[in-house]
Amino acid sequence: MGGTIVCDVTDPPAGQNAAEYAGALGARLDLRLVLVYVVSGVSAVSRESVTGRQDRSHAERTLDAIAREVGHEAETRVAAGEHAEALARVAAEEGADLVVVGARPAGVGGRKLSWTLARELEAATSVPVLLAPPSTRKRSDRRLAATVDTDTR
Amino acid sequence: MWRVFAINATLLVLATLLLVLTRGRVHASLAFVEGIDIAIGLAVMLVANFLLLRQTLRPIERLVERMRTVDLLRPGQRLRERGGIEVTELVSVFNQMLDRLETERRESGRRAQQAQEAERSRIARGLHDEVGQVLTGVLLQLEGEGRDEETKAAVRQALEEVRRIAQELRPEMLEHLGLVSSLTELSRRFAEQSGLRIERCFADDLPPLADDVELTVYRVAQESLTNIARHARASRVEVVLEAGAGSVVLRVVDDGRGIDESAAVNGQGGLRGMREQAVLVGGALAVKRARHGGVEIRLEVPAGTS
Repeated sequence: MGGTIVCDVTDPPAGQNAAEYAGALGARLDLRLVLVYVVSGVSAVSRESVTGRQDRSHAERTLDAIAREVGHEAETRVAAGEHAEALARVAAEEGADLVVVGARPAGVGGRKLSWTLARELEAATSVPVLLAPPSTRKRSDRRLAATVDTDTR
Repeated sequence: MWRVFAINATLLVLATLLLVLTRGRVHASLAFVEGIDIAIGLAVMLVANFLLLRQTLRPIERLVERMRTVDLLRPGQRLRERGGIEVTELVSVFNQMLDRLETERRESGRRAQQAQEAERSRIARGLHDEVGQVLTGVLLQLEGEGRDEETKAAVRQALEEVRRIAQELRPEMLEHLGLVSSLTELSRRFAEQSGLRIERCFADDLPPLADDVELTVYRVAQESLTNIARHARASRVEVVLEAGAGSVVLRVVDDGRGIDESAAVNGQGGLRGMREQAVLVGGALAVKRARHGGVEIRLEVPAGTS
């Protein structure tokens, strides 16, 4: 294998879309794929609480479902903490070469992209961040458009 | 400071111009309508002041946040140098300080590791050459005197134990036969002592590694197996060594009771030590839930002999 992609799937529509991109990219370049779901808030630290267990259980189910859809032997991880920080930590631990996050349509008519997480990640990790735009039509295997920010500062 | 002063000065000048150029006048006995005008004007100025100052001071807030959360075990966290001149300079200095801290930590960590390995070697030599020799002498004496088997067995056991500890302290095999042979021996010995089933899977086409990197891989495998024996309640362990992208990946996977997420992240004692060793050689260490339960420890280290 030629490297590792860490992909955030925490927010369902954007995350699922990011996972599709990451899966396609991973399959094409023979990269290891690690799907990450971040559990934030109070439940993230109280593992023993009912809410904490429910959140983790939901995260694991979501990850399993997305991993099945993506195929490509995706590995899964649940991380706890602040979203960007937790994602950056997993990227560092997994020796990631690329972090893929989803973008949501924003503004009038959804013509702009909301990519707050990518901006926060920029400061939290030196790993390049790829922003997967929301899918508006069915993507063929040959079409893989992406924006890569390789600036580490 | 000048930026904040400029913002406040601009707002005051604008307010003054507004008062001078508009027909509105404020009388000594304030009328109700005049009061409303002043209140609205004041509110507009305060909001504008707040928005402009927030825009200016936002990078400082981000800097403070980064200062709070920066983790030297995860190098490379930097802020983008943008904003006003003062803020850019502040961020730049902070980034330079992080550069220095990371370099210093790496170098001091490496020195500490070298000192630790040298000390381990010294103790191992002492155990093997001195204590081992003494015990061998005692054993020969006991055999010569025809003492009972129980005493001799106790001395033999002590001798074995001394040899085992010496071997764990100084993996001589690593120097002489390389990483794969050392890990094979380590896992064979571990299986023998713990009674766990160990499956080894070592790739044939592994790229060469520098000496300190090989030692890190060996130590992480050793610590992982020790942790499994102590805490995991596992029945089966998988030790895998495979080639990555310009790297070598070690995976130690057990089928035990798993690990608490916070323990895996904060990593007290052994886990933190493994993470520090990984960072020292430019590697990455992940402690996570294994695919079918249990724990997977994944260490990826850069290949190359330099």
